[in-house]
Amino acid sequence: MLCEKCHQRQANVFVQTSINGQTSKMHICQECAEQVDTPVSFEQFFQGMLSTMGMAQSVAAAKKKPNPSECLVCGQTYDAFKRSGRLGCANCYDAFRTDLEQVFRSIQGSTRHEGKFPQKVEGALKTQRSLSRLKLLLAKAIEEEKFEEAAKLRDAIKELEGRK
Amino acid sequence: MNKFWYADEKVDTTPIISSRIRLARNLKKYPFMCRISQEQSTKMVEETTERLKGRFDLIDLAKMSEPEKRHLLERHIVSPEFLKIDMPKGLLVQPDERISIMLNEEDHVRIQTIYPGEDMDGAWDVANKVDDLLEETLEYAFDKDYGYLTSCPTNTGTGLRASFMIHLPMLEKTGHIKNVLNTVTKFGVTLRGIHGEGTEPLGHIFQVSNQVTMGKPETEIIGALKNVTAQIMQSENELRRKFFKEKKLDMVDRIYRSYGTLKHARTMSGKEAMELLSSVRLGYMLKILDEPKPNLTIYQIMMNIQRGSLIVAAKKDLTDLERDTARADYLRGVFS
Ligand SMILES: [Zn+2]
Ligand SMILES: [Zn+2]
Repeated sequence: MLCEKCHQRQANVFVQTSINGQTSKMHICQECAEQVDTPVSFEQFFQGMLSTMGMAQSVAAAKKKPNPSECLVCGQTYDAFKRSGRLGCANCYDAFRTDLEQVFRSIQGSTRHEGKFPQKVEGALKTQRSLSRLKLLLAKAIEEEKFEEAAKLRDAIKELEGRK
Repeated sequence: MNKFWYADEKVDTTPIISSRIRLARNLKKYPFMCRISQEQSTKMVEETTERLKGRFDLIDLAKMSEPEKRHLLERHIVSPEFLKIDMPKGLLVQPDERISIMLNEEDHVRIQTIYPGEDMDGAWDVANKVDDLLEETLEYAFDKDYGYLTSCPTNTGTGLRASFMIHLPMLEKTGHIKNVLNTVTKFGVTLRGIHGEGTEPLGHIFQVSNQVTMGKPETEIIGALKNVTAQIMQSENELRRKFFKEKKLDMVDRIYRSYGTLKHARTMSGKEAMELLSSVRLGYMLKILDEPKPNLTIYQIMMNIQRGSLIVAAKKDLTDLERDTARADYLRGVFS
């Protein structure tokens, strides 16, 4: 069977991914599999997302009707992003913020970073994010009647709040 | 100095060969990969290497031959995409090859750590520290909601890809790998074969990695991946035990035949060599193969029989036949 990405070489890698219960399968060649670190192409996710939103048929239509938004810093347009799956600079994230929310919801199942922050980014901001996360975990622990864990979380929250 | 990661005996201890962390980062002041100019690339690479030299060895790709570059790829120091990019780029590596930094790959900075065996926490700890070190002098593109900003939205957030390289001969031979694939994808984990040129992954070696990079802290992403990988490893080990109990003679015979061929063949394709080495790796691990173990880890041998590695060792270009002969010669040397 031929590679579903380049349609040139023999497919020898089977890739299957599932995001939010939406599964996609692909047979691709080794070269295509190696080209991207992400196992399934962005376009695939993107089209998957459109189809779940009942917009599959409008992929072609969307191409005809250009999305006028453009990043003023680097010149990348939203259409170019949609085709290539690549953003042009840090400012693109602001320029396409509303559209990107949808994209992240679909391919990441979330629209919020919960991981590490550069130390330079305000400590207060960091504390704020940890706090809201701990509070969520606390609510979950209480709901699941994990009281020992809840007590620990409560202490951690107290300590963080003391620091503010 | 530490050993090369692939020379450490932990590489041969469990089905897990290595633990790898990759962090994708971009600098705020330069356009990303698809918009950056030649000039800006040069500046970005120079500026970043300036701040890191002394701590890393600087590799000058411009002075390397194609086989030498391929050899970097076979040692997992660079990605295939990195070699294809036709722009000024930089590469910094620690002498033990456990840490490398690619400059101007799909993102400005790609930090990578590879540790032998099952040591994702170790790999993460070091990658995290390297990241902190870079951040002291570089200003990353970061958004308080979206996290680390990357070229491709599939990496945004933590920019983290954690992968185990794992040897699954029994799961693959019995066809159970398909069920595993179906199951793990439900947990946001992807499984794919590596090294493949034929219809199946060579050497039964797979890469298990996290799919999603946003919405969870790094340690949770890694924790989830570790859980899923432990499950996969358990299924593999169960199958090994079952076959050892029920089809012992078959298994022992196949392993000794593999060993014999590696020790005596005069010419060998890469595909065959990977298959035989896979079998021998299993044999040593299950203590079925009662023969002296080579000084190198099996994975190291697998790396050394790849095309780039053979050509670099021969110091000249090799025809297909010469390569197959060189491979068999090398393997006879290793197993004698
Ligand atoms: Zn292809
Ligand atoms: Zn932009």
